[in-house]
Amino acid sequence: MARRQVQYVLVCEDQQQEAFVRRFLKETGLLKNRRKLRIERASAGIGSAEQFVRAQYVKELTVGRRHPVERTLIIVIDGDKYGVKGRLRQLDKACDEKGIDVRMSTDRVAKFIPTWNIETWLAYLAGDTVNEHRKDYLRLPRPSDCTKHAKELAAMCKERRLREPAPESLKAACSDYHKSLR
Amino acid sequence: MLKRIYIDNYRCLLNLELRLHELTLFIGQNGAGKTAVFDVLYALRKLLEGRARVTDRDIFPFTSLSRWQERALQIIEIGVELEGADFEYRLEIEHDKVERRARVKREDLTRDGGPLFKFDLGDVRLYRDDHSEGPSFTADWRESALARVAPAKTNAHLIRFLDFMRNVLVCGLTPSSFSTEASTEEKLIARDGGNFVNWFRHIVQERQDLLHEYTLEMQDVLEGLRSFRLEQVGVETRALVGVFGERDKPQEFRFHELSDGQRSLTVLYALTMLTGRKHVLLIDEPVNFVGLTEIQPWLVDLAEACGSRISQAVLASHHPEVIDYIGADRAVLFSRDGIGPTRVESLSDKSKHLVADGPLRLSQVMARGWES
Repeated sequence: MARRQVQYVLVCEDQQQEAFVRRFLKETGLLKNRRKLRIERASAGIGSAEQFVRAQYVKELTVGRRHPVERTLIIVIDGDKYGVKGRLRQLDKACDEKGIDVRMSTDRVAKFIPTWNIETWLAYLAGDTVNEHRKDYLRLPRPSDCTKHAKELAAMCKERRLREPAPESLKAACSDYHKSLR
Repeated sequence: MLKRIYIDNYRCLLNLELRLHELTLFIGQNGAGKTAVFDVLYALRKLLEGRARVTDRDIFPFTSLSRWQERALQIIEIGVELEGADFEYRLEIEHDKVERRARVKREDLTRDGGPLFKFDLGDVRLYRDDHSEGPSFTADWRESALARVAPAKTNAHLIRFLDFMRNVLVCGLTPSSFSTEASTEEKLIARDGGNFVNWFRHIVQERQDLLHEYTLEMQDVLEGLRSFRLEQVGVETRALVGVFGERDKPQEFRFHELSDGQRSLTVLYALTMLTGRKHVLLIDEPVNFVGLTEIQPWLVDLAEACGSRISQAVLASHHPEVIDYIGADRAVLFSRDGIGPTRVESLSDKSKHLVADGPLRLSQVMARGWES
């Protein structure tokens, strides 16, 4: 049944990224039914989550190109010390290593690369002025505590204006959001 | 929140201690002891409700002693965190192997180390909330004396613990046993979910505030559903009816006319959305009848509910969707050598490497038996 088909595939590292993106998609009105979103999250507690995201990114690109279905791929990976550009290069390299084109005009992919990590964005959305080189912004007690942060970002996206000074990684993500998701 | 369970000399569970999270998944091969833990918690809840005796068939019968043990003493301990305080409950059941009888030997409850209740060889000593000694009396050895304590001004902590344990719901849903009609309201859902409609009648009366959101969710889950309603089919009897289709041309289906999967989903979402904040859900193989596209959305809802809409959840499942979504950090791996005792262990390094390096998902590692 068409109603059951997934429209968004989210590949992410952890529960906090997942909870934030789910809420953001809901707040922006893109995700009205949870069944339209498929989540591919790294298995928590085992190995490198960012490695999982890179590997899964290549798999999802390959599948999407071989069997075109109308869906948007959303990749979330912490920038860490590599930042947005460094992570984008790593994602491209992962494609090269598997022998697939880095970009095709038919790909609908949004890449969100919070730097240093998702907690940096959450601190910004809670009203702080953040430094993307700082890696000790506090985790929320529960991943689900990010509702107000997602609402704040959705409101800014609607206005197409982030509160300044905004983290560069969030600016890049917003640009990708408007290009690939709207 | 249920934080710790210790079980000794119950079927395959020997000197076994478990630590639980807000959402925990029991994984492991068939016969490893996952359901036995659920059985203990189910029996304990029934005892603490005051509705069962230790020797009842589904409580702690003689046959529940570990086969290879000469000892006749069973020990259950429960660690619970409530409102920032640590409660420790301990129950000792002594079996008479000749007479095939059992009795409660000791039963203790403490809060942050201070006593709230002691039962020792037939004598009860109550303690006030400030841990000073209260009255003492004798009690029936065949049941939980703690369950008989009535609320009073000085025992709010003890009653809080009892209330918590009485809201532990243990389920293994069997759609074929779900009734469509109910003549009474029931506060707790039965282990097989058979009385779901009785429970739903209770919810309709008590928690109308939650029904709107539940109906909206179920409209996404069951295609074409508009609402559920309770239709009067007898003086006291109501039948659960699903109303589907367009407003001007509705089609109604009795609950038993829905598929096993649709009925399971109806109950599963009711558990996460309608039970309330006090409840701990333990669900054995929750997604047995559920279609693949519906499993992850329910798990997402369950994970969101834990710590907010409900207190906590523990699942036991072999399903790859469940294993891969909940993941290794919230999984408790049960294993057993032959018919020996159950062990709880970490995933092996080999299995961690296979998942970490990307070639296999955790469920695929388990399908190959490489998890331990």
